[in-house]
Amino acid sequence: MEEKLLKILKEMKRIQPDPDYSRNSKMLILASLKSAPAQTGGFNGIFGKFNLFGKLSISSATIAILSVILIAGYYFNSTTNENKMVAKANEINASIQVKLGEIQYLLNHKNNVVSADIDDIQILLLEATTNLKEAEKLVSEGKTEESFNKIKKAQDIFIEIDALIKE
Amino acid sequence: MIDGEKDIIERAIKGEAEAFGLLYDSYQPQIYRFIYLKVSHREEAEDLTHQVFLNAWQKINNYAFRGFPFSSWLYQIARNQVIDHYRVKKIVINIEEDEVADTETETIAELIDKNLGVEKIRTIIGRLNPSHQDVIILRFIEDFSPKETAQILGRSETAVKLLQHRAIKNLKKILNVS
Repeated sequence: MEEKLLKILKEMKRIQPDPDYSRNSKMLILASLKSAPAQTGGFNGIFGKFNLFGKLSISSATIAILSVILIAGYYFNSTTNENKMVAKANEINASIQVKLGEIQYLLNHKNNVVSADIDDIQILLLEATTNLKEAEKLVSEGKTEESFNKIKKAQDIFIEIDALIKE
Repeated sequence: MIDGEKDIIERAIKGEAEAFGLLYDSYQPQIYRFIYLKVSHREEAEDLTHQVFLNAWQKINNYAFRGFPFSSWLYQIARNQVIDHYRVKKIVINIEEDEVADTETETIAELIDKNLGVEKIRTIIGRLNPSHQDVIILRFIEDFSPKETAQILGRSETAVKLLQHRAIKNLKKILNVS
């Protein structure tokens, strides 16, 4: 009888979290400031407290992205001979930096960004960072075109963020 | 323990989100399962699991590698999180009367026959005291060794073995088969 009981207990391992929940939770955690004090009050509580916390995280993520862009720009200038691609990448790079400046300005001067939007912005910023990091890796591997597509994708995400803030 | 765990943790301590992401992917399902079986409520388990990993990410500088899996540290955070959750909310677990009656009149064999085993026993685990829940989940569901379980629970191996004996006895008693 005990064997049957232990067998059932083993079956409990099938209990898994919802994949959508896991994905969102992970993105929110990774987008948060590592050194910030721990939030309390659970998932919904965190959503409610993101106004200040979210802005701080966004500023941090923005700086991180800016660094990645600068590094990516360096790689484009130094490692590829495909001048046309470099020109396009630099053009996008410049437009991303302008867009980042706008986002930073809007975040600093617009007080009515709702917390749900901040959550979305954080997720989008993380996606953009991931794309730019991948772009940096790809260009160092000589995969210029794939890298270019990643930067283009990041640019689209920034436009999306911009639209969210201006809504 | 995942491959290259020490290196991944060191990278996470330095602030590399991608490294912490790897730890999250590896350990989040089992931490979620641990919490879910203790709180018996999906949304609460999601909230608490999120909080565990948020705390872990923000306090990872406090983690010191002592040869035990990173999961031991996460389980400790998870246990504290569940304790705080009940303390703050002053939640009293009330089992529905009819649910108790059902359980008391069914044997394990019957439960299996009815294909209700997993769900029913999950409910019964929720009725055990927290120490018994811990040992049942860690030893019999997650397959941790007595040594690893002792590390997570902050007990001796002997205490864990005694605890698991009592926990199984209690589980069987609730199932009315002892």
